[in-house]
Amino acid sequence: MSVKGFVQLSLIFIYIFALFAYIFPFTTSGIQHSVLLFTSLVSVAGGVYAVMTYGLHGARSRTVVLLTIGMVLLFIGEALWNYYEVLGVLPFPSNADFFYLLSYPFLLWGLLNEILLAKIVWKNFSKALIFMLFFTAFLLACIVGYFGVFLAYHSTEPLFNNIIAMAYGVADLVLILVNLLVLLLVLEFRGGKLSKTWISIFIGFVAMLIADILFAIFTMDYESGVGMYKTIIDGFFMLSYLLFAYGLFDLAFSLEEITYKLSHKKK
Amino acid sequence: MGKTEKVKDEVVTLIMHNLGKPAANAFAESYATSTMPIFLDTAVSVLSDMVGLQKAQQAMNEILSKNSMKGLQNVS
Repeated sequence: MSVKGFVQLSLIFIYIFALFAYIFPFTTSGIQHSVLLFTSLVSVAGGVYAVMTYGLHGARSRTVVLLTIGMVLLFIGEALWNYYEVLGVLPFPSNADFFYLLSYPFLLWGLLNEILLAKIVWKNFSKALIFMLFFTAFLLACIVGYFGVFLAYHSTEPLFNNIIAMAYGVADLVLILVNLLVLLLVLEFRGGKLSKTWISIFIGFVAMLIADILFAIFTMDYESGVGMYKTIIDGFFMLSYLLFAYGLFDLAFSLEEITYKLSHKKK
Repeated sequence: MGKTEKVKDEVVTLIMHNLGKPAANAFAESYATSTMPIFLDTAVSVLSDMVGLQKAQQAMNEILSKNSMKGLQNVS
C-alpha cells in the first residue's frame, strides 16, 4: 500500500475510532475531548506536511501557510478547552474562544489568497450557475443568520457570552460565503489534483459550520452532556478537522508525486 | 536576456507559484536546456496535473502573449 493510501485509510480509521470513543458509555468527557484534540492535531500535521512539501516561496505556499496557521490556532483553542475541562472549569466562554475566533481571519485570508491566485474567469461560468451561487449564498446567510446568530442569543446568559456565541455565527457566515467562491475553484481546477483538495476543504468548512450552529443553539445541552448533543456536535468538528487533514495531505502527496516525476524524467 | 530565456524564467516562476519551489527547481533542472516546444509542453503537462488543463493553458498563454509569442492552443 502506498503512503498516500495508508494515510487516507488512517484518517477514516481515526474518525471511526473517535466516534466510538463518544458512543461508548464508559468514556469520560476528558477522553472524548482528547480524541477531538487529536483530530485537530492531525489537521495541523496535514498543514505542516503540506507547508514542508510546498516550501515557503510562491503564491500558493502562502495559502497553505495561512490555512495551517488557522489549524494551529484551532488546535490551541481545543487544547485550552481540554485544559479547562480537566480543571472542571466551564470552558465557554474562555481564552479558548479567543484562539478559535482568531483562526477565522487566517483561514479567510488563505481562502481569499487562493481565489485571487486562481484568477477566476467569470465568463467561463454560465449565468445559471452564478445565479445559483448567489441564491445559495443568500439562503445560507439567512440560515446562519437565524440559527447561528439569532438563536445563539440567550437572554439568561451574560452579554459577553452572547457576543462570543454570536461571533461564531458571523465568522462562519463570512467563511461560508468565501467558501462558495472556493467551490468555483473546484470547477476552475477540474481535472487537476487541486480540485480534490478544495472539495475536501469545502466539505470540511461545511461540517464546521454545522457544528458551530448546533453548538450555538444547544450550548447548555452540550455542556451538560445530555443525550447525543455532544456526540453529534463533536462528530461534525472531528469530521471537519479530518477533512482539512485529508485535503492538505492529499495536496502534499500530489505535489511530491509531480516533483518525483520531474526529477526522474529523462530529458 | 533573450526573449526565450525570459519566457522560460517566467514559466519556472509560474510553476513555483503553483507548485512550490522544490517542483520548480526540479522542473528547471530537467528542462532548462530543452527546446522551447518541449519546455512549454512539459510545463503545461506539469501544471495541468495540479490545476487542470484549462487553467494551465490559460496561465501559459498569458505569459506567451505578454511576450508576443505564439499561443498554446495545440500544446497540451
